[in-house]
Parts: sequence; structure tokens; C-alpha cells
Amino acid sequence: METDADPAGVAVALALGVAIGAALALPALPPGGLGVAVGSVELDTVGTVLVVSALSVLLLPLGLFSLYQLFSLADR
Amino acid sequence: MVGPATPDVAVTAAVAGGGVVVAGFLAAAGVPVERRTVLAATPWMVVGGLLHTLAIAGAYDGLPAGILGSALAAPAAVAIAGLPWLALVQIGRVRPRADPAGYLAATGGGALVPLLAATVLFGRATVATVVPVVLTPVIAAIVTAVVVFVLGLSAAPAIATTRSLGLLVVYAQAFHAVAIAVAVDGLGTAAEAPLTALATDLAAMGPEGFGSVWPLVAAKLAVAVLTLVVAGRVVERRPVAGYLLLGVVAALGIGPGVATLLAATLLA
Repeated sequence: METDADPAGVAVALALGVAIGAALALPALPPGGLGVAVGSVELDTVGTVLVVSALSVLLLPLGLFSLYQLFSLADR
Repeated sequence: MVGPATPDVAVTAAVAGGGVVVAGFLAAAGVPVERRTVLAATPWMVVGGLLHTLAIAGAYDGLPAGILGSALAAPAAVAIAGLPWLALVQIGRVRPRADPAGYLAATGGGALVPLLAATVLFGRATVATVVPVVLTPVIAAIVTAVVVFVLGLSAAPAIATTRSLGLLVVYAQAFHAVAIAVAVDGLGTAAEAPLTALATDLAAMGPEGFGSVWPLVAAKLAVAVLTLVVAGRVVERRPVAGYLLLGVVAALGIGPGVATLLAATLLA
């Protein structure tokens, strides 16, 4: 199989992965809404989802990207 | 922590068979088994560890809890990762360009984000539980650097042949070892796994002040080094077998490492 960079395909794969992860994560979410406290501020469900999503989107890909680059250096 | 009930024989056979069938489909489809492909499976190794920990902590009910909370989590993760990858690879065949490793890494990374968020929400995120989760991968990276430095002096051909996958294997085993040390020695969790309990008993006979799981840490690093040297020779003659061997050893470090760490911290 010829392999080449495929940004569109990878974007579709990423969206598919998020859908699979959301389906697997749904049963683990607590019933009756979500809520976390940031300092003295209590966040409602929407705020909690936004904060957790933002942290996940920022931190996880950054960590994964760093590790990927680290291991890719060994292949050069 | 009491886990979910173990599934019966029929379910065990079905899930294990499902994993084998999906792996067979992937082999029949001729997906490329290269260094980059095995490296791209790393996010799915983490997903497998997360699913197992969530199931043990009681996040799932019924049959999924039994499957994901037992050793069947491994074939289940293979099936969950393999099916979308197979579809994407087949679609890539009829397109002008295809990136199988990119598809595998992207689906795994995408699945990881909501699962990690759910784990944080389901668990108990405090400074005392988050700090060990953040520090363990960093300590494992330092241990990996030391081991790879020593390997570079003593077995440079193995490092040169396996390259990034060799690093991944050492990192995976170091991560699992450090996670066990953090859980047992740092957080005082009981050593439940048979090998961990054996290592704890062995350490009790040794000098005090080094913690109780250092024999296990040393043994796991020795296994990683040995695997790397053997796999280096295998890769020279049969690259696919060598890469698969390295991938399995990496998965056996990262998946259980994630499960051990989260079970002792966020989901304790």
C-alpha cells in the first residue's frame, strides 16, 4: 500500500475517534448533571463540560504531540 | 477495590474470538505493520487502560463491566480499535493517498479525549491525586533516558535497529514500574497483582529504605532491555514479527501502567 500524508483522512479519523470515545465515556458520566468547583466558583453542567473540554483539548494533544516528536526524533 | 463479575465462558470466547477475527481481518487486508504503525497504536493502549480502570471502578453496568473489567479488555480494545481502522484503511485504498498510521493515531487520540475527561469527572480530582498522575510519566521518562543511555553503550545495534519503538518499549515498562512504585510505596495501595506481591515479599528481605517494589522495577527494566536486544535481531530478519513483538511488550506496559496509576489516584 502506498502511504502518504492524508490530512483530510486523518481529520475524519479524529472525528470518528472522538465519537467512539464519547460513546464509551457516556456511561461513566455521573447522572443528574455535571459540576465542578474551580476555586470558590461552582460551575454548572455547561461550564463543567466547557472547562474539561478546553483542558482536554489543550493538554492531551500537546502531551501526545510532544511524545510523538520525541519518539520521531529517534527515527531521523 | 472489588471488580465486576467475571463473564461466563461463552462471553469470554465471543470477545476473545472477536479480537482474533478483527486482527485476522486486518492481516487479510494487508495493513502495513511498520515502526510508525505500532507507534501510532500507543493512544489505543492508553484507551485500553482507561476502559479497564473505569470498569473496575464501577462506571459501567452489566456485560460491558464484566468484559472491560477483566483481562478481556485487551481483545475488546483490539476490536474497538481495529474495526474503524480497517474501515479507514479500506477507504484509503480507493483514494489517491492513504496514511494508515495517521488514521490509527487519530482515532486513538480522538477516543482518548472524552474518555480522559470522563475519568476525571468520574473520579476524585484533587491536588493529591492529580500530582502523582502528572509526575509518573515524567519520572518514567527520566528512567527511560538512563536505561537508553546504558543500552547505547552496551547494545547500540539493538537501539539502532528498533529506534523509536525500542524507546517506546523501555518507556512503557518504565512507566508501569514507576506507576506500581508510586501506587504501592508512594500512596500505600495494597499490592494486588501476583507479580507485585511477590516483588514486595522479596524486597521485604532486602535492605530497608528503598521502598518495597524496587525488585519489580529492576526486573521490568531488565525484561524491557532483554526484549529490545532480542527484538533488534528479529527485526533485522523478520521486521513484521519484530515490530509486533515490540508492540505487544509496549502494550503490556502502557495499558496496565495507566490502570495501576489511575486506580491508585483518581479512581481510588
